[in-house]
Amino acid sequence: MDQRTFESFYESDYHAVLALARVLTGDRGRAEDVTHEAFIAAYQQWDDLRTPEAWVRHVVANKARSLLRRSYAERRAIERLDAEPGVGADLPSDTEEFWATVRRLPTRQSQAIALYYLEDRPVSEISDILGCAESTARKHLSRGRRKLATLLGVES
Amino acid sequence: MSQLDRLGRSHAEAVKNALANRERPQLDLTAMPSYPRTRRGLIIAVTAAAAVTLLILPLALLTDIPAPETTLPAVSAPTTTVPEAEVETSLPGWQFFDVDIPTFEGSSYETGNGAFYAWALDRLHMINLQFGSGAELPVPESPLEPRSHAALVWTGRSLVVFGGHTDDRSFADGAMMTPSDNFEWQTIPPAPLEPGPYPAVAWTGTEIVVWMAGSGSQPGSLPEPGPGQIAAYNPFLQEWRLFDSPPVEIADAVLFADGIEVTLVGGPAMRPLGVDGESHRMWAATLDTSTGEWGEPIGSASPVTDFARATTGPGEAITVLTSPTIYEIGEDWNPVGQVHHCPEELAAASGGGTVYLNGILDYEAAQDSRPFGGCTAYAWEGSLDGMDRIVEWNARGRPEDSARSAFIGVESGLVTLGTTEDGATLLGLYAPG
Repeated sequence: MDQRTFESFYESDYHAVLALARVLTGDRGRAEDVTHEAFIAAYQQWDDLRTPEAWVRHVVANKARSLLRRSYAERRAIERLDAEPGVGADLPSDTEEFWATVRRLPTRQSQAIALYYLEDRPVSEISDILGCAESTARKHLSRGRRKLATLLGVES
Repeated sequence: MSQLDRLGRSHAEAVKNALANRERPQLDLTAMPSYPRTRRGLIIAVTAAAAVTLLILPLALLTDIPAPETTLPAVSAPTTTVPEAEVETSLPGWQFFDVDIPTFEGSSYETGNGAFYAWALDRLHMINLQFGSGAELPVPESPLEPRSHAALVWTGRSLVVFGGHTDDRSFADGAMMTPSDNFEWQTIPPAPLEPGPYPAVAWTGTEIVVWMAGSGSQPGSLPEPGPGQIAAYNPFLQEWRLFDSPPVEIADAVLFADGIEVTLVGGPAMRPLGVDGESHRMWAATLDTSTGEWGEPIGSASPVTDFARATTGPGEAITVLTSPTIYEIGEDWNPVGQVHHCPEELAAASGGGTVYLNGILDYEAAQDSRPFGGCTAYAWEGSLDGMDRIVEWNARGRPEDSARSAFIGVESGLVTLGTTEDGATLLGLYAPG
């Protein structure tokens, strides 16, 4: 069990988790919602969490994935919001484009790449967060990097 | 450091810098349900009560003193029984709507929260169960010729209708309708493919990918297995591009997109053919739409004898339901469960790590341990454990006359069910507990 208090965990990991949610959802508002929900879930199970850093990131990755398919009503609301100038433009355009390309990759590959670049995590930790074998995580990462390089037209 | 790594790290820094000054919201922990404490309290109560029982009960038996009543907290048993269901009965989580769709012709799609589309011969119907109480929403007449069994796919903004057939003709054109743009239709020019029946369609995020059996197939009947043809349409550029044919020979297929990867799953028939006693082989292969390259074909682990359906949730493994084996497709076909007799008219969907099935089974011998045994109308929920392994099937009851499901969909925590019976259409929404 993690010896830290939930409060210190929240303080130390909030921005890193928010960044992960931001690149996986492609939207700041949704990222904040997903991050908030993930930390609340972590608090509610705090006593049982052995590795809260991995657990909360796993929750964020799954929640971001389920946002890929949204309800009709939610989409319309988001489209109206997106149409307002200035809303959601929180990243430089080339950075936004880079992460949008990452999100075009198969889901597990995009998650592995986000964890690799954003948090500089080794494959063993990426596999813990994704909940898969280390060899599987390595495969997602290498295939994702190869495809990302092709999509961006750069050498991998 | 490679060019890609330099880019990746610099754009990661840009994200972190942009978010560094975002204020952490205050979490009102006192307002949250104190789950750990409650559960710990329950465990302590159960343990203490059990200890008291274990200590006092033997003593009571020996000394003939009446044992005190234990105060073990009531723990509800897992829901493994099938609730009795009747038409119009309000089952936990289920809501049903009778909707009159004039000619329900084999194509349907749900976008979550009950937004439901059905393609009739001459037009598209849209019904919103949750917000419209089953009322049909006004979709203008489409620019397409009347047809049945068109393939439908939701892009996140628009509904794509592609292909389909009449009694004497198959189509390779389509159209897309955008609800947020006054339900406006935009035509999709004919694909560079030979028209065939029962197309498969998927959306990659930027392109509509379509597969057609083609080559000599008759409208409305399944052709002999062959490689078929596959192409992608970019609605932003309004351009088609043709890919190499897949390295598998199939007659009927479904397509799944996960980002730029598209997986084709098929066999001689993905649709019910009746119990013919023959065995078939199922195949799958993955196309990388960014390079146009097909991966090695993934052949089935063993021949299958009955119907099959394939389903997946976003980012989840593809689950293929055949008889006698349920498979997940990854690097290979991995058997994850057994079904001795698949239901007819089976519809399947998955989401949130759970596979939902709906179908009928008129097969008296199917009893006991068979997951589809003995019942005529149930939606089934299979639990996936850890990394997508099916370990348990539970039945969820629902009205008998909604047995012949046209489709089932899972999104945003809701299961949507559509079915036709005696000319009427019953649509249902179910919120899993």
